[in-house]
Amino acid sequence: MKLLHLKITLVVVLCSLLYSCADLTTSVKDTALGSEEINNPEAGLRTLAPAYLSMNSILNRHEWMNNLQGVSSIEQIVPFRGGTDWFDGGRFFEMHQHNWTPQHITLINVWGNTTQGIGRASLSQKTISDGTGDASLIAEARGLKAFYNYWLLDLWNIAFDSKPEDVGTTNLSTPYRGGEAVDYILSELEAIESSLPTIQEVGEIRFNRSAAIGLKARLLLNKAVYSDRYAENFDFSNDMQSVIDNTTQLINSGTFSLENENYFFLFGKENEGHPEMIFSFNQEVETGGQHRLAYFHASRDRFASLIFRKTGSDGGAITQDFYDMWEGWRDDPRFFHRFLPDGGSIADEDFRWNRGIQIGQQYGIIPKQGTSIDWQRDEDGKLLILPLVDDSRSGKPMNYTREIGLTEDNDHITGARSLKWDMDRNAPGSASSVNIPLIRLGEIYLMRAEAYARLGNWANALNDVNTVRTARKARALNANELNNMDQLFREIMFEMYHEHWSRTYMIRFGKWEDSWRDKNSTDKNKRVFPIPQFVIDAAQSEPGYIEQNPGY
Amino acid sequence: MIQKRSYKKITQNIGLLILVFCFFIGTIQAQTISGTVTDEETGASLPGVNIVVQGTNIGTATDMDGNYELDVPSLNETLLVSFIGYLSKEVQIAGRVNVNITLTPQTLVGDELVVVGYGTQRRSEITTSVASLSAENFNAGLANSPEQLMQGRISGVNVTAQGGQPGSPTNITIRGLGTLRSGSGPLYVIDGIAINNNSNTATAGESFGVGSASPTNPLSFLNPNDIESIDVLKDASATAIYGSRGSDGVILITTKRGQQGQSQLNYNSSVTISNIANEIDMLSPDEFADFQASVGQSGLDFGQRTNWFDEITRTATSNNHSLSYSNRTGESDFIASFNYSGQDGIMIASELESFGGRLRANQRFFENRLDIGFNILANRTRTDFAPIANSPSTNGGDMITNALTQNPTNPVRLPDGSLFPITQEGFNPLRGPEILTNFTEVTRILSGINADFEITEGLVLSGNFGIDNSIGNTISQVSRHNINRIAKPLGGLVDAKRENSTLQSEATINYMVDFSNHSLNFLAGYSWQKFTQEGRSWSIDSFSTEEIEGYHNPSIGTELSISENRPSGFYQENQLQSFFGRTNYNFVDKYYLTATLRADGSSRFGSGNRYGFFPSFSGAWQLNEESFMQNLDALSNLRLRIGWGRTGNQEIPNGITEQLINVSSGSGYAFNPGQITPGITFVRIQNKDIKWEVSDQTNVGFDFGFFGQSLTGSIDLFRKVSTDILFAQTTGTDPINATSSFWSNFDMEIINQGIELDLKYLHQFGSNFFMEIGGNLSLLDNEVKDLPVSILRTGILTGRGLSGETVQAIMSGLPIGAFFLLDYQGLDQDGLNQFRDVDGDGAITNADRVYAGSALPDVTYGLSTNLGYKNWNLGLNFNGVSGNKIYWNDHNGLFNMPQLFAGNNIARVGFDPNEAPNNSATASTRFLYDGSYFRLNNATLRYTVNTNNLPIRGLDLSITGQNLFTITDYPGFDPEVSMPRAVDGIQSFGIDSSRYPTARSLMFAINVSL
Repeated sequence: MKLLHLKITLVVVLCSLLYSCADLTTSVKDTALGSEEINNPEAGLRTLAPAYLSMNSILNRHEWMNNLQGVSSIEQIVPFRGGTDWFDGGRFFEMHQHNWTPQHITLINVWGNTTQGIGRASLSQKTISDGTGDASLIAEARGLKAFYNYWLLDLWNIAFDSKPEDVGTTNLSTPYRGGEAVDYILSELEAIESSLPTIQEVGEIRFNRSAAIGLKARLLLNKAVYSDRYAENFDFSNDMQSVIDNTTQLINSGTFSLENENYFFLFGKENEGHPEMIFSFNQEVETGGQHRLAYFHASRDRFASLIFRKTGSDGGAITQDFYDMWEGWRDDPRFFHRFLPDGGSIADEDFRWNRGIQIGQQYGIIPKQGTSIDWQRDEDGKLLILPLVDDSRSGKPMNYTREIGLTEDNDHITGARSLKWDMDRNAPGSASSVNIPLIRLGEIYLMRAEAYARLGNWANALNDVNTVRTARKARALNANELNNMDQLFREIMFEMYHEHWSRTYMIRFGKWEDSWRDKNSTDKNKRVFPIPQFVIDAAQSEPGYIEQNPGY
Repeated sequence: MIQKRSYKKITQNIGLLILVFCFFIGTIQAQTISGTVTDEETGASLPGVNIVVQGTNIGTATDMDGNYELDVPSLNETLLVSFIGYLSKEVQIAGRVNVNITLTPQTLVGDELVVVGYGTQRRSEITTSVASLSAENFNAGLANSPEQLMQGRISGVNVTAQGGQPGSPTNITIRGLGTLRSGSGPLYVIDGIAINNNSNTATAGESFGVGSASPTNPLSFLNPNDIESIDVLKDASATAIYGSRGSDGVILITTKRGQQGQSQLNYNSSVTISNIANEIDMLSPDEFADFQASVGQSGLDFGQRTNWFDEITRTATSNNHSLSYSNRTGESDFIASFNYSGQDGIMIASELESFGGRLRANQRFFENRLDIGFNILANRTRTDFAPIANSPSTNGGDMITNALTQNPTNPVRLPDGSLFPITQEGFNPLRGPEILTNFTEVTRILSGINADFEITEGLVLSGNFGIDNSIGNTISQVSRHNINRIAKPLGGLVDAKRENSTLQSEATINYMVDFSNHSLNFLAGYSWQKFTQEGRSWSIDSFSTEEIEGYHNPSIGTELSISENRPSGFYQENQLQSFFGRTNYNFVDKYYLTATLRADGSSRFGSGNRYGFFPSFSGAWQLNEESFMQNLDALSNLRLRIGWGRTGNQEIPNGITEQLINVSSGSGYAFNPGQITPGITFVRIQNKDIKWEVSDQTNVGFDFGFFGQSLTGSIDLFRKVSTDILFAQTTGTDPINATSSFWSNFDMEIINQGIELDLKYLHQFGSNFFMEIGGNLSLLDNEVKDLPVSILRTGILTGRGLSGETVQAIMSGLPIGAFFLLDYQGLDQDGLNQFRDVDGDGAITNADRVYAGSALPDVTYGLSTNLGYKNWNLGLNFNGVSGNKIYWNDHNGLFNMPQLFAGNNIARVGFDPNEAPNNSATASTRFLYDGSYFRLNNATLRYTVNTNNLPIRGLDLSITGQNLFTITDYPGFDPEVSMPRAVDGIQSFGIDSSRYPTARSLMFAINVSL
């Protein structure tokens, strides 16, 4: 009997186990799954925030946009330093020599983050439309989408019309190429211009009405190139008046003024809220702001901060060809600005880097041995400014030379360096809160100058160029110093170098197939980058949807 | 910064004393007995029968006429008589000098029990590919975890250590890789509880720019002395009973139980002395100085002659003590054990200390029809890491990289005894351990209760409930320092906690029935498991004092900011619910069939694919029982096995089917300067169609035995095809996406096929000598087919100038682990690299990369011999691999002429006076090496003391040498290498960079039982 009871008990236990089946729903507790966050009234701005932040991984590292626009052009070169540093899988060599492939890591990354920016902006547009419906925010999201599309167009000759309602569905966005892409982006900008907030309302760190006008001007200036990439000669004549109209609107708005104290303030902490800025990317330490543009050209034994051990890397340099372009013009304050003496001693509060292009023996502060963080000082406790030595690698004096090549003259200290960008002296590690200008008045003046020049009006062009030069405290040019495209190109390079535009300028000025040291490619297909292979692979499920660019 | 353990020395001394004492115990006078062994049924005399005195190694075998003669310690002993094909027997001598013995034939060969998952089967009933390893066949020597016990012992099972750090994890693959994702591995089941084998510690040390240390091995909580046997289910017809978790094989671990007989006490102690097994052949300080002088850089000779690597290595001593006692009476049995292990690593500042205990008790009721068992295993392990990174960064924080490359003409210390300050980026290698403290402390408890109830004859109801919980704390701390490229000059602490737990509940019902020639066994069951994993981490910077440690009192930290000290955490859970059944059918002990079916429901998968069905079928045919085979006298066993099964792999991140939104200030934007609006990002969009990867495996095998089973073995051929491969892609058809990655199942294939051979030869020569030789060999071929993309790059390098460089690729037609590199052609007359211009465009680009071999060996093999002579026993165990390549990241990143010119020391292999001082260290086949090796993994010499006149049951002493020699062409520390170098979760293999070197060790052990 006893046994029978036990049997029954066990069978009951087994059955209850079987009936207590789990429903297998798992609650995700560490991440929000959706509805609550998206229905939050703050959701519009909160979805717009990451749409801006995608620029982080496009702009703030030396090997992203700086590689595509700077290292690929006559502006910068990155050798295999001493045979031991900065090869990084050939990403800089291939870029400099124009033999990149659809597997190039920079192309993969910049493509990924640019398309992500479009996706995020589109999703934000949808969230705002579904939520508060704030027209100005919707316009801002569309404006960002246009800005990212401009980058895609410039680099890959493609733009995507991503309808907000299609994001996250299987409906495909519409790709545009060439002139159609220009027209699509322009039409977007036209459509939102009046709804966009003004710069007085939101500041230059958001996509504002003036930024839309600036972007239109830039698109129109390049329209001839974008419409017919591989042309022998570009026909700019149709669009130049529109460029002049748009740039004039900004110049005459009374909102903006050129920096006229120190050009390099545009590339340091001083640039926040600066009246020259029309649109800039707001870096903050908390959102991953980086000082890599400054770090890349600086040396490993050059210290930038008295509080933190912020140093450089001896990665990039300016090419000797670009250095030579300054021959006869090195008194231009945009070439070099001195903050530090060569030797002697200074007070702590006076310490900051010299800026601009650095060559020859370098001077700076040197850590004191054995203590945690202090610097060599004189008997009065002032900072000693000493000749720097490349202790970290070669042990040689830090004496930058003009000559620099990929595999010869590739020592750690060869090549002149651009310290156009400042380090954030108060941020630890590689962090930085220095904003990155995207559209500024100086460029707008030069756009108008170029438009005038392309229409043959060299007098007006000279006037605009000299407005900029004068603000920078450089000597005004005479008429015979600005009467051809080469001279104008040089002027633009003096103002705009190391700001992610040199490739675009070189193509527009027909100089992309020129030769410079370690670059001999004359392949016109290289005016457009190849779409990364993983994108082509993934798109194969929809034949004809995205075709690879010619020559790859 | 490392606490010293005072009791370690004491225990060490006790261990040595006992060892010395025991060697003085002499042998005892003996008596001689003799007799004949015959077949009980036929009366035929039996030659070659094994006769051993119980509790000793004293034994003999019968001669051609079945006669034996044996010196026994006394006439009160018991003889253990065994012979293949007959039931073993215990015979009391009972004062006789003439002892005749009869043996009963077994109906079949293969009587030992094999654990098969939800039950045991006799070896003779097995229709699938299951390998078993019992305690006496485990690898001897210092072992921290069960995988080390079986390395090289089982065909098809490849065990690779991640490094020589005490307690470091191992990679284990069974019959090749069936997935692209890293982090998969076999399922481990300990006494019926499927454990969570995910890492239970956060990585240590990565916050300070040093690179992270290896995580600890989650299996190291299990004391190898507690393990009775390890059974490995290899083919899918065996693993299908584990359904969606079976595709990488299943490892079933059974712990020891109390044995029949009297109470037993067992004490095991060992002392191990370890040294580095192989150093990298660096230029000597003189050679370095001479070279620098010869190229006009004598300024780089600072006058001293220092071997930096010697400064960071040491002779390490380790101690193990293990005590267990057990008993088994009519209705109950139990075993209790406790163990301590204290190990020093061969690199300074690395050590491991572990305490563990176990209790297993069974009680039977109702005339043994109800059997209730309880098992608890608890362990606490502390691992201290030297500043050695898995992926040394360019910053020189990695102690090994730093010591290898440091200028050998620098002094170690200043005359005042303080460390010599080195101005270059690589600071004094001895500074790392001074300022960096990295350790983990893991507490793990595994406990279960189970009951078997025999309702009626042949009908058994079973249930079990188990819990597995582990908590791991990781401390990473840097003291105040003045080293340029290490973060937090004012000091910093990161405290990270992980907790993993698993709950399991299972019920099975088993019915066995025999009628005439048929025998049937049905099993049906239900299983439910819930897994949770969570972690939290916080940090604080800038210590106000150096007097105490921040991890003891974090309030000495003075700085916290959201950008520098953002806390983090996660919580994940998933559930698995399964229904399963198995039928075994046996006809006249010649024909066997097995069918299993498991239905698995997993919360990890989308609602559209929540349940999956995993069937398998297998059969065996005992060929030698057939009349047409009867006249083959030499053949004692021949069995054919054929099986097919389907299994799954569900080791994927939780929740990937769900939309995932992240809200964080890290993805926000400052719409006003300094004021950050947190950002909402879509990490994933919903995908209800995601399901497990599926593997179909076919297996054909033969088990065979010759010459009265003195030569036995098996051969298996298998083909495993994995499909629905799951991985994350970074784009969809439309490049404009709301998320940065998409998980999908891809209709591609990963094919593994191979041959496995196991052989064992056993022979007794006369009464004093026996010999056992075993060997195994596996041939494996792996291929990826129909990859939906052109290429997936993986195998990322680290080091100067190598950022983002990858050397492996997943491509259709190539195996996983394929190296994809520029083809190095030598130096040109200027001393610069020449590479093959594959596409002939005149430029060397990434388009010129070629397939240069695979990191996966074609052949893995093991060889073990066990020789016994009287009380002496010698075991040797060799293992090896061939056909694989190793990419030596160190040669690429550290050991090249430009580094030597720059004043760093290099390995001899990189010294080439013809190379230009600025030649580029471009990744290429130049740094790819043949990874074949053959190793004497361990050798044990054991002496069993005759304890007849001693008040103890048994005593043996042994000396084990581990990792005694390795034959290889590979110039790195060790060719057995696998650094984790996955990219975007796509696994990689065979990349070596300044890993923690392997030790060669000598262990002295004593085992006493009462």
